[in-house]
Amino acid sequence: MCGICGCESTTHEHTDQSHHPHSHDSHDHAKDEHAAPETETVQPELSSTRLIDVEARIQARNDSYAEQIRTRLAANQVWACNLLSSPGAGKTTLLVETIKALQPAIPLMVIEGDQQTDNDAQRIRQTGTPAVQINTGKGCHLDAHAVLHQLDHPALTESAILFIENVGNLICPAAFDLGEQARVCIISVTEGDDKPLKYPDAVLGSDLLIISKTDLAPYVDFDIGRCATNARKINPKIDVITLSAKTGEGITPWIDWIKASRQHYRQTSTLLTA
Amino acid sequence: MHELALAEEVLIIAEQQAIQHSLSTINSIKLTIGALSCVEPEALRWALEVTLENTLADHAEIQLTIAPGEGKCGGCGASFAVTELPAPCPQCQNWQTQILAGQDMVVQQLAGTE
Repeated sequence: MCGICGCESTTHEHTDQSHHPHSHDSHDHAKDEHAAPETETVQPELSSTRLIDVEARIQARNDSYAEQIRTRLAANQVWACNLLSSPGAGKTTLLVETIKALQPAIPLMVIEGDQQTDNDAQRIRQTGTPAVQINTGKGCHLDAHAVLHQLDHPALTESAILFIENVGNLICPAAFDLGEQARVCIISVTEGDDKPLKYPDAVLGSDLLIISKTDLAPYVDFDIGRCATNARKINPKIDVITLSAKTGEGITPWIDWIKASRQHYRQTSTLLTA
Repeated sequence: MHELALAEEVLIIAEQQAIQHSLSTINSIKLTIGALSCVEPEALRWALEVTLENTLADHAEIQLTIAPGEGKCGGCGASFAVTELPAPCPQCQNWQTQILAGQDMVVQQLAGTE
């Protein structure tokens, strides 16, 4: 068991920034247990309020774990991709098709996040790619701490790709850096083309918007162009790819995007470590 | 509701500061929440009230300030305050706004006693 945060893994480091006691009763509140003054003079104000400048980011601890993830992945040039979407947008199905296109040339691993069940990890494993399921219980997002615990997985060999399928949720996961190199937001055509405006945090933080299930487009009132325009209003730099995991339309541009992003990362990380 | 996870982080920061500065009680916590950050400020306030109960910061006063975001137009180069997205450039009305600030959530200050 980790002696610092009490979790089961011993493989992550705790820098001074992330050191933290979990015991909420760790401080002695009994002021009268301090050494009594030697005189009998009553001192009504033994202590006064002190103002402390802190200037600490609330996400500093998560981000320090995310930096550890980045460092450890860079050692093997592992490109990591975090996928965000509402539940049911097609993340797992897309990952299954993605794996079929990338294997066996590129070693792959998937981390799955869901409240309950390992259904998604099982679907991935059926492709022959290793998958780890993280169950968040009542939790609504994956965080860097949870991902860091998986980094000793033997599938993360030299030049592997790690896909992280986040919990189906377009709000909370946006707030947690998982140490990924690329963040992808998926919106399906059954969801409404104003989705990027309704859920700007996920779009703002993403490198790519995938508009999925385009095979269903003829049956719904979804304007693909309007959805892409809305996404670019939030994040002018976001790339947009439309695809259908069912028919295979658009899968090639998606694979090309993965390979280009990964190639750029491998070149950049080589320069950094040179 | 990730506000609870964020409130837990605020508590951890408060506990670290208490150790560093030999405080036994935290009476108030001042936070600056960026207008473009990933949290609803009042939800965070509620989450803090719940999370801080029975801790060294029990019933600490929570002071929340919303910091405006800052955007820069990728078209005309104008800089401007951004309070929510989407935010077209007020000068040229283009949709090329890059967000420069407003996404941070920071514990600015806290007050406590020994």
